Order: sequence, then structure tokens, then C-alpha cells
Amino acid sequence: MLEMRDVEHRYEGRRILEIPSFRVDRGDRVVLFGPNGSGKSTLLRLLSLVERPSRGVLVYNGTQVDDGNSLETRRRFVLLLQKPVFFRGTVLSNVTYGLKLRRLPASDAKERLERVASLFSIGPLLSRRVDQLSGGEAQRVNLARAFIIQPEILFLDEPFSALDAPTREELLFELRRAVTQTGQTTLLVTHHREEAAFFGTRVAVLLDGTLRQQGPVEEVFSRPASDEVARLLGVETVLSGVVASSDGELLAISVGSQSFVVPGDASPGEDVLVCVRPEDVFISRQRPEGSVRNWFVGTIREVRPYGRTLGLVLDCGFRLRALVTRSAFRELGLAEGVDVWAGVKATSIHLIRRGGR
Amino acid sequence: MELLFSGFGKAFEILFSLDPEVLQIAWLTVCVAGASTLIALALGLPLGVLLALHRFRGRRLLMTLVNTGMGLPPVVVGLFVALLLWRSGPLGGLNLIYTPTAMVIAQVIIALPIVAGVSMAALQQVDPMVALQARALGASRWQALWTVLTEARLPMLAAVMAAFGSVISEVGAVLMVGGNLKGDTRVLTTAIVQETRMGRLEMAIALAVILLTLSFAVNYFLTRIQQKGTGGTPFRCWR
Repeated sequence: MLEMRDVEHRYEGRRILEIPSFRVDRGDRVVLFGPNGSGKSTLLRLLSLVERPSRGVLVYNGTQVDDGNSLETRRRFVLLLQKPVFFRGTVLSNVTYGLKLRRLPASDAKERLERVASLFSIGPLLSRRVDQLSGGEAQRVNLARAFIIQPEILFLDEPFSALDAPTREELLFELRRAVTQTGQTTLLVTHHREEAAFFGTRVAVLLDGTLRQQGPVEEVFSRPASDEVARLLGVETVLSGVVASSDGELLAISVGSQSFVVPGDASPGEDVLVCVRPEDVFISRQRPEGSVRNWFVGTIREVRPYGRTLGLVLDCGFRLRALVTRSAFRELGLAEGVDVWAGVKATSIHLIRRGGR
Repeated sequence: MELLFSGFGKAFEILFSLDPEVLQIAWLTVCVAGASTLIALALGLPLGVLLALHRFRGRRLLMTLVNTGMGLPPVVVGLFVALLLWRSGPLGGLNLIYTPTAMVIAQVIIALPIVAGVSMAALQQVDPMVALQARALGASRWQALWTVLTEARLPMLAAVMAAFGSVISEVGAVLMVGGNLKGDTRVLTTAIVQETRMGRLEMAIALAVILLTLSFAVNYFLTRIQQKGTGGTPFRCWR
């Protein structure tokens, strides 16, 4: 559908983006994930044809975008910026702005308006002036003015970042429902892991202006290609180790004075990174029986509230992060300074061969 | 004080008698000021857009010139336009001196920097994201520019009002290049000066009332357009 080839973008002489290849296919829900300043917004502006790359080409449905067809192609897309930018006037005039540009027949416009007003529950807001909207209402109106155009690709640049957490969750849910209902091809920029996991079918990870990894959400989140991607995706324990031995099925990995057992394929002596998600760590006061292959004794060094759960930082000879519920924390009598057993199933450990090879 | 009251009384008499000479002066005033404002708008607005939204070599110098031009003394403009248009001047062959066209030329030079300067400042105040969002919703370059202009509607119309106000009330330049010829280039301001000099204060007051009424009417019309749909800003606070 939309393809980017050998694109480089410079700003004031500095290279801020280098994308050898990237594509969005019909029906995709792509999440562009990366930290602040990684070039996500710039990439979105280039893909939506609002800005022109310093070098490289964009191809839409097999036709290269050039000066002759850029406006026509751009009108097939919509980009919504991070903060809703409304034009002076009412909600109605803002929602129908894109349709007026495209000179859509009035009957068609009316039908579309009714549809988006119901999809985003903005019917009662239509006659209101845009400066009288709350943050959540403003975002619903913003989404409505994109959906009314029925774009072939919808680009969203962190649309809910300025909202409080409950409103953000609610709107993300509404957006996902609307996108699924309409089969809308969407590219969403975010730096929230939960948003990425909830919304996307595909994730592209952008760091320092380059795409580090892209693929289905489950694959990228469970198998990050490098330590940087792993840290970015919230695999909070990333440990340097060396493959001590291999029996063809399981590897023994030395991490300092400790050893991990991990299924995988690597040669003895090879440098690797052991990635453990905090939610995959079991905590016990005694060493339990079971299939868990990796058990370590550690001391709780820190306890942090982490949403509805508590995050623990354990000193096991290496720093290991774990998540426990508040009730488990109470029942086990956990506290800072308490010694515990921490277990990690071999199958939930992700191994990165150094440098993501 | 008595003079003032009798002056106003006489003035209204002249006004309601629809004196053809007074009507002709008022009509010429509206035509010269209106034409000057429209031409200044046609030239000054693109200049304001260029200065506000584009980066080019010499932009800062041009901005300084425009800002200086906003405070240009009308008599200086009158002097240079007269020097150019005099029979012996470089444009003397055009035979424009002491014509309404010469008055329009002088007033355009006075109003143009006002339109360009105020519209430049107005457009620079518009959030740059407005143009970006307009394009992101499918606007062409011109449609995005129109959206930005619409966003700056309030100060832009203030620019038109300021330009019209400055030319309709201007006396020095029109006197120098128009010559205040009765029935030909006499406008309300030059007529007021003439009548005051001759001691015909009632007539001067009548002309002043017409000038103020005209100015009020035009500004009322422009203010209506400017404030349409703004609804005012609710402002409530504790003492």
C-alpha cells in the first residue's frame, strides 16, 4: 500500500531519520514505538506526505509520489497531531473541514457526519465552539474529523499523551473499536508500552532515527532484537552473560557468579544478553518444588508502587526486577531487606546474541 | 461654547440640506480613502504573508523597512510624491499632479506599510501547527494559507481599519499632491482646514461631523465582520 524506500531526512544539516525500507499494508494497525526524540513524529509527517524527505522515495499503491500527484495522494491520508489543533469556529465546522476541502456532495457529507457523530458520541457537541471542549471531548472531536474523511491510511501522533490515564484508556479503547469496526488502516505513534501492545497488530521500534525492529506485536515484545529494544519494550532485567555450555537443547549461561538455564541456540563462549520481564519472576519465601529451572536467593532492596502492583528490585548477585500483587506482598510478609527466592522459568527468558545478530 | 453649539446647529442644517458641494467632497473622500485602502490591502497583504511565513535573504531588512514605514510622516510622503509627479519631475509626463490619482498614490504609500506590518505580526501570532494540521487534513498550499488567514481574521481586519483610519484622516499628503482644488481634489480633511482658515467654523464642524460619521460607519461594518462568531471571552473572577 504505502512504501518508503531509502529515505533520509535532515534538519539544519543534521540527519534525524534514516529508513532504508518501511511499508504499511491495507488493514494494518501499525504502532510506531520509540522514546521521545527518536524521530517518530518526523517519520509520521514524511509518511503522511505533509513533509518531504531530504532523500528517498515514497510509493503509494505502486506509484511513486511526486509533485504532480502528492496532493491527490495526501488527500487519501489524514494525520492527527499530538495536540488537537482546531480552527476558529464550531465543532461542526472543524469536523467537516476535511470534507469541504475535498468538495464532497452535501448528502454524502451529512451521512458521514451522522456516522462519526454516533461513533464518537459527539452529537451534542456539534454546535459548541471548539474552545469550550474538555481534553477528552477535544480528542473525540479530533478523531471524528479524521474518520469522517474515511482516509485510506490514518496517522495518529501520540493522540492521547496529554490526557489523564483513565481518559486515555477510555479513548484508546474507543479508537480501537472504531478502527476494528471500519477496518481502518492506522499507524499510531506512542511511547506507552501498554498502548502499543493493546492497539497494534504490528510494531516498528524507532531509536535515534533508525528502525531497530519491526514485526508482529507478540514477536517484537517477546523477542527484542537488541538490548536497546529490550529495555525500550520494558524488559527491565537485561543481563550480560556468557554461554558456558550447550547440550543442544538448553544453554547454561553464566551471569557473574550465577548461572541461568535457557533454551536456545548459541555456542559456548559466546556473549549473550539474558532478558527477563518483571511479570515472569516468581517470588517465594522457601525454595519451591516444580518445573522452574532458575532459582536465585536475593534480598529485596527496593519496593516501588507500579500501577496496581508493586515492583521489587532484588539483589541476587545481579539486579533482578519483579512484580507482585499487593496482597501477595502482604501474605508473604515481604519488605525491604527480606531474603526471598526468585524463580524464572527457562522458557520465559529471552536471549539476545550480542548486538542482535 | 456658544460658538460650538451654534456650529453644531449649523452643521446639522448643512447636513440635512444635502448640499451638493458637501456631498461631492464626502463622496470623493470615500472614493480616495476606499481605493487607497483596497490597493494597500492588495499589495500589503501578500507582503505581510511573505514576511511572516517565508524565510529569504533580506527578510529582516524588509521587515525593518515595513516597520519604519508604519510611522512614515504623511507630509514627507506628500513631498516625495509631489516631487515625482510635478511637471518637471521624473513622472511629470503622466500629468497626475493635483488629481485624485495622485492622492491615491500618496495614501497607498502611507497605508501599505500599516497593512503589511500589522498582517505580518498577526500571521506570526498564529500557531504554526494550524498550517500543518490543515495540510495534514488534506489542504492544498493555498487552502492552508486561507485557513491561517482566517485564524488571523481579528488582527487582519484591525489592519484594514487602521489603514482606512490613517488615510481618511490624513491631510498633509493629500493637500500637497491634490492641491485642495474645489470640485476636483477637495476632500473632507482639506476642506475642514480650508473652512477653518476662512473662519467658516459652522461649515468646518459640519464637515468634521460627516468625516466622523463616515469613519464610524466603515469601522462599524468592519467590526461586525471581525467579531462575527467570536462570541466574546467569558471573563469572571473574584475581586
